[in-house]
Amino acid sequence: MTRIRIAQWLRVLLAMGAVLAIRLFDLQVLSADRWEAESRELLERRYVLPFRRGAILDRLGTPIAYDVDSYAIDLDGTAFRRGHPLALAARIRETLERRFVPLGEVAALPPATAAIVGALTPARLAQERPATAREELRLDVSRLLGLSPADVRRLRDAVRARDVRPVGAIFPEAAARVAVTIATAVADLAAIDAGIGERAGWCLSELDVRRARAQLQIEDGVTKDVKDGRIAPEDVAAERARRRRRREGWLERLRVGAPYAVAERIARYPRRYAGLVPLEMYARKYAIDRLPGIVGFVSRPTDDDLRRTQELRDRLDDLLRSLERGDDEEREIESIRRRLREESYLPGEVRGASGIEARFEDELRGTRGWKVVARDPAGEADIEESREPIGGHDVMLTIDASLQMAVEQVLKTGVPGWRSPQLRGAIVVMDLRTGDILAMATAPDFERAAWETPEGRKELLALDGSQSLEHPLHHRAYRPYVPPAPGSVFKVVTALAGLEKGVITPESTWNCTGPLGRVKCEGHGTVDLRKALEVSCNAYFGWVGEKVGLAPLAAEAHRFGFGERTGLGFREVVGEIPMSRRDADSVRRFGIGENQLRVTPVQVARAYAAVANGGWLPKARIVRAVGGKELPLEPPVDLRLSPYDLQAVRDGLARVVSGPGGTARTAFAGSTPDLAGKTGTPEADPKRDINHAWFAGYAPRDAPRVAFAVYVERVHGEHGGDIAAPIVKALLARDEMRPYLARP
Amino acid sequence: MSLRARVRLLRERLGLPAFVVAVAAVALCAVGLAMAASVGVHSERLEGIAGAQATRLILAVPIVAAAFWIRPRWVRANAYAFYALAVFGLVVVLAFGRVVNGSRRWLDLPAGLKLQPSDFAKLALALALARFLAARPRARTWGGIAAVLALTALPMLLTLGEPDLGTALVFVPVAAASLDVAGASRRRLAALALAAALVATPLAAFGLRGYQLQRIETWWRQDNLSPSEKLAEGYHLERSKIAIGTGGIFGQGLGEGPQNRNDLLPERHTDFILSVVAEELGLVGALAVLALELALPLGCLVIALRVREPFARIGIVGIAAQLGAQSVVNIGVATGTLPTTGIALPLVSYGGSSALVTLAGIALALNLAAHAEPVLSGECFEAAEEATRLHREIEPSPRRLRPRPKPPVRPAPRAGREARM
Repeated sequence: MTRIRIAQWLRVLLAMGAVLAIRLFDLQVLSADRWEAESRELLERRYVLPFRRGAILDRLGTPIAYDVDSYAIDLDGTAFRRGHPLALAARIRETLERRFVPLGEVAALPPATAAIVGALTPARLAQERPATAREELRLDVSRLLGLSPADVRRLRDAVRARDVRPVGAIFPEAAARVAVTIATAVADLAAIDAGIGERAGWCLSELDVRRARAQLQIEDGVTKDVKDGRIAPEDVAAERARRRRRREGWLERLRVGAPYAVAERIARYPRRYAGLVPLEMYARKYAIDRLPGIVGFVSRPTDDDLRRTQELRDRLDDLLRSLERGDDEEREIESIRRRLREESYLPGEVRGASGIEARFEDELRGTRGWKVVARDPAGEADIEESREPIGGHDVMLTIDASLQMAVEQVLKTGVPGWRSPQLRGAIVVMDLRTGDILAMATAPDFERAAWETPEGRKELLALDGSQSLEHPLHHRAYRPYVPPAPGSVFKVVTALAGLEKGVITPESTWNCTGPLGRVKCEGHGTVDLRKALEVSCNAYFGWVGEKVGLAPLAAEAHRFGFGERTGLGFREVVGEIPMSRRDADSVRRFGIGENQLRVTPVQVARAYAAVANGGWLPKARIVRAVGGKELPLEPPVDLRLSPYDLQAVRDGLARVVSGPGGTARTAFAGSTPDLAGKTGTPEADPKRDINHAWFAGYAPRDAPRVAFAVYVERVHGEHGGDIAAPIVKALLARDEMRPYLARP
Repeated sequence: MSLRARVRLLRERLGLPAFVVAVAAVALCAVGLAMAASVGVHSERLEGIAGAQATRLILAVPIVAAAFWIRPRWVRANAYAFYALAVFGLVVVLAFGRVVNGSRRWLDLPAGLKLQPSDFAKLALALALARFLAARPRARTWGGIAAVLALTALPMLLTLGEPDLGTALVFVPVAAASLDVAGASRRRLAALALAAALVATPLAAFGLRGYQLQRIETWWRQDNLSPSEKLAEGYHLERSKIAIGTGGIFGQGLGEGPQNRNDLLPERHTDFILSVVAEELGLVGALAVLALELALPLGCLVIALRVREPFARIGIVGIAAQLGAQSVVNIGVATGTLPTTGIALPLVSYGGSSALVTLAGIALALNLAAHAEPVLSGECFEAAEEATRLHREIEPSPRRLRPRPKPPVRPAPRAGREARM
């Protein structure tokens, strides 16, 4: 019977063998493809090649925002551990002293470490257990001493023979070099720090943190670091995975934004900087610092962005590995790939956060490239497959950078004799045929750099609050914090509304005897349209407004683009057109650009462009071309104004600067002004005699090419003619303006 | 007796099976050395292990020779002493052993030697059980079974305490096979197995460490692991399967396996050496190693079939169970057929203790077999067994053709089925 039982055991064993054989066959033959694919993935190292973000250019092609070469420094944990003198020295001391030795401790006193290594005896080395630890320690010592292969063998034999002489005696020259080696390594790291512009020692402490993590001794789920409180128990699995990744040569990003000099230095001395890998990247640069309100900002992807990217990648990974995939899965894979390509962000990349950068994010961002490099123990990498990155499209603005700078300077300099150190306001210069914004300045504005530091940002946000009048973050040309009333610059619209409706002709007269209801006036005597514009007679336009009526006047204002988007494409303020108050005084005040009427300087410039343009209202635009392709011009809207009426208004506007009673006459006195325009002085705070000052117009007078609007916020007592007109004069005198004023 | 005489004896009495076992053992040692060399080629850390393994094998020769030469009577007489020594070793290792990877398994001896007492305990247990079960028909009584369980549990629990689940589990088949071959009632064994399962399940739920349960869970759904799990809990499993799968039919060539070269396979010189074999020598190599590994226990079992002396027979079966369990569990783990646990592949994995104990066990098995009297056929075997009456645990076989001659001297009937008849 026992024989039978033995025979049964025999059969059981054979059956188990058969099961194992079948399993081997399954793995090695039936599902071999899958395992080969997984193996290939392990054997490859994939690099993402960064793309160059599109530049933002001015209308002549001068770059305003563009990507420059920059470098990231990655840490190859294995190479650092095995090759960097500091890491070697720290590791040797860790084994000997049985504690974690920070790199800083080694760096602080190189001779101490050198002495410890020199005093080490092969007999002590031989005591080290287990054999693998002994081997590693011996290898570390050989590497730190920089032993030749022959000396490495000698050391090994000495360890076997349990030589009791210190290493310093066996290899005197090599041991003497150790202190110098360590000191050099520290100096090298300090040089990197200096290159990056960090305080010295940054690299050291950062490396220490990463190395401490790599040091984790994960022993079957119970780690020393858990015991020491260096890592939470629940993070053990994640840490173990991270450690394995690192061990297998994954790279960890140490730093982005390193300059060329640092990258070049690291690449030139690979042994001295063992474990540090420079990688090409890009960094955003802004040539013209003061355009934050138009060009906008880029920001680093947020943690959420990065998490989303990671989720997409994980999901893709899972989908790609699932063996049975239906159409739904294939579609999802496609969609995830597209989203990864077009919407996802990786560390080191940037995304547009505001202005043009945000509005044209899809065009500006390019497509990442990648390369797959075969891992090879010898360290020679073969590129197996790659795709070049595709740069983003350039965006060409309508802004003329040099004119923009001139305009900003004019706005900043302000008016000679102006009391306040800096005025608040905006200037818009527009090509009146195309609606191109040639320059658009606001004051006060802010330095780009200020927004990028936390303190600066806090300060700016405080200045931008409701308690302040500064509002540097609001571009007053299209998005003023409190949109102003246009005041007398609106009279052009009132006049054209009256002419169109037939309530007046250019020759109709009105006897101005002083205030009309609540509309203040000085008593200009008998005025016709031209004269009324010249002297800015409130009573005349109050009368016209009243005769036209609230609704038709509001409709006319809309036709001229007030209360509407101008076409810039930014988050604009559209202003307000009075619709509710129907009493005579309110309508009269609407006629002179007061009441509840609120406008932006871009809207005003656009309306004056229409006047200068024979009644064709252009759409404002700020982007001229994307990726080298001119954007189609939106056709101007024909307002169907009679040339006769228009001529009368334009005559009036010309007389504002040159006529004997012109409100801007004094500003342009002593020159022969070749422009036409209108001043405006709406009340901002009547009790304290605070007004806004406007001057809007076009130039040259007879063959207009540019329209402009100058807006100065909250001036004390002065009029548009005193403040805004001199700014226009200064502006038109600038050389940068000349090309746009030349007669064809 | 000279070596030559002993070999002749083996050849005459055991013939082909002994020859196969011996050849398989030598072949596996050679494969082990080749794999150690292959693993060491591209790794600084492991570069010397082939030489070290060869040294250990050479050092093992005298001990293996002694195991071959020793008188079986002496082995039998000292079986309990070996057992006590092994248990003592396990206690010492728990108290003074060096912690490696969170377990105390190794005992450092002077002159840089180190031992894994649990390896010796497996062999010692097989011998102790053989002696215990051979002496009297102890396997027939509950008391005897209980004693066997106690003898097994002591080293097993000590090994579990290291902790070393894989090695501890090998004690189970050794005890089971010994009991079974010694003639324990299958019903009782089945009842025991059931009871063990009932007791072990809650014990496992509470007693197994978190990572051990985790490994079983990971193993259960091994085809649906997330990328991060593949680097954490499922790491060994996944990497081993990748290495095996990459091998294909003929393999990548010795020393050419990409997982091996790039240090992507953990524990590849010890517990996962089969994955390297499969990767570099392909299905052909892996099946050959599987066949050689199974040839050891199968050969021993065939030899046991021809041996009638109970100590020898049970001892050989115990050794065979140990070899078989280790091979099956190791290859099962490497292929993902069984949950991951660390256990060496006999003679192929790098490691001195394991190789020494395996070789000594095989030598001992052949030694025991050579000394036992030859039996030519089943019928003769049964007859001779009864005729000699060296022991009294033989039960009447229903398939017996010849009427059983009455034994001349028969003690009072004992409890059990015999008495009922």
